[in-house]
Amino acid sequence: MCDRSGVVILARVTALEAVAVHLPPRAVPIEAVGERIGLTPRQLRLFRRFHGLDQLRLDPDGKLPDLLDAALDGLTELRGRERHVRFVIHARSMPVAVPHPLNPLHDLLAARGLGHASAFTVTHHACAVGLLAIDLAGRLLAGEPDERALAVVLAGEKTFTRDAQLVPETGIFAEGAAACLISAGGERHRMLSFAVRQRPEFDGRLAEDADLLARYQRAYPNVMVEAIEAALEQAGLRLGDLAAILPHNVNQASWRMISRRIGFPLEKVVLDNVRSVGHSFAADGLINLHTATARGLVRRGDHYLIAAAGVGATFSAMAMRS
Amino acid sequence: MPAAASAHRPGLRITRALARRFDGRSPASLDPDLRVFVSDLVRPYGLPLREDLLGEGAGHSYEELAAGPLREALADGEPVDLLILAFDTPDVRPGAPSSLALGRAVPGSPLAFAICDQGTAAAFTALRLAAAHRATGSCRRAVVVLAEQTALHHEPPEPVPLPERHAVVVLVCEDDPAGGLEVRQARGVDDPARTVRGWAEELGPGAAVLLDAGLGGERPPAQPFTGLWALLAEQVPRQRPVLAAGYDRRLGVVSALMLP
Repeated sequence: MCDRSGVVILARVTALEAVAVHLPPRAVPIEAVGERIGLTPRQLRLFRRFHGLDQLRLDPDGKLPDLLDAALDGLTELRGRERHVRFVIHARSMPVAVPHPLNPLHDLLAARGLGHASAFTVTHHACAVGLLAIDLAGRLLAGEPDERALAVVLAGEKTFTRDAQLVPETGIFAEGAAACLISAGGERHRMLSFAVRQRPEFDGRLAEDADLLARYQRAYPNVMVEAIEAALEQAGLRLGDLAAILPHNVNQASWRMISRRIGFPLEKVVLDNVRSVGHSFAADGLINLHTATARGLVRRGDHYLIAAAGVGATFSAMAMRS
Repeated sequence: MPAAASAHRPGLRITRALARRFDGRSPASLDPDLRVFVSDLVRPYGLPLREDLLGEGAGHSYEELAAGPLREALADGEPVDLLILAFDTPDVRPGAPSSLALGRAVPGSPLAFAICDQGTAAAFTALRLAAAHRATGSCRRAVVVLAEQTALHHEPPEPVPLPERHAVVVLVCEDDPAGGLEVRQARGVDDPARTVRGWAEELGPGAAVLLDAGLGGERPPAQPFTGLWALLAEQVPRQRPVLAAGYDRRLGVVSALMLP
């Protein structure tokens, strides 16, 4: 096929064949975490009453590979197909997560029969990077001659430092993880569009720069809506076509605002995990897809949209057909 | 069984390549946040901090290093669709999304992101991703930025070569209807040198072959991540086919860029 200027391009399908989620069993009240990271009672009230946070799933004794390995362990659809996996992409919010030159991703894959795959981390989109990883996986698979070729996207991170624990006045991080099996031929959960809006002028110390934080908070809903509308337009969809929006779990308040602004029913925005899991970096969209399918909010043939924002700042939306 | 990655026919060619090396440090190397971050990073692993480097201020930021070479390489003002930053050693601003800032500094406000955690193979993967974007229709002009800086602010958990100088290589990739660059990668091959020789033979007897330290090039490498690509920059624009190949011994990944 050709693009609008007549240049030959590969037709591609990016299909999510299966999603597995790992939620660490320990659910910690936000007050316990707040005490540890120095949040004031006023800040904690804001998070609980206004932002709708309650508990955070954390694994204080585990390291990064423990989270990713547990997510992979749940990806039963991968078993017996490991040799077809060409790419493994860790979608990571924090560009640096372990001391150099350790590389737990590669060690983990070798132990899982995936040591042959091309494995790397994609980053700099912060908590929106999970959507980018899905898009990249689809593009790489489009060039593979073997139609059985697969990719795995992994998401999940440790809350090891303050920047990985807190988005000031916005959210508190958790340690949920997800693994997603992607093919170039699956019939279910096909990507229809992917839209990204990047605003590097908001990179900085949000905790210490009140003016920057205020400007970011003002722009946030506008740019998020812009990305959502762009993804819908690219996919040829209207909001009314969506069975659900799967947001990132940063908080409930921002999604209440966005839902009101675009006129989308709040009950179709999957916010369950904001209270019970917490903001698990780039894994939120996949965790929420798991919840939406389990609850029957997204059924075969339904359209839905995954949306996420990351500090720094990137705003992404991906339209899907189940 | 080793699995060779398949070929792409992406239609991007490298039209400009700049290699620059730097001394000095970034002001960010003295930011107290760096100490906090590195302390938190190494605590679970029991690794000591490099107090000397943290105290004197050492290391550089990829945003600062790459901004000038990017301006130079893209002076024609033609818009860029995609910017990929690849690195191995961590940035002196380890949490910063520097690729976004670099993307804003070039014409076209490209989609920008970074890749890492693949040792020296990450540079090849960046080119492969650029080619994949071209092949799937959303990129006519991409720029790949490869960066390394000298300072590791903790004792490494195992021996690792660090660059002698800060360095950046900028590769400008543009649409080529006749077909362009191709990246091949494989992991777990028994004889990576033989694998590379086989790939080189496909380019014909006149091809220039550039090898990194993992395949017998300069050892120990002065610039482990960018050294090979600085050699490539000397070949662009080129008069004959080129194969640039590297082998990351830690990860067992052999990679080659083939420019027919």
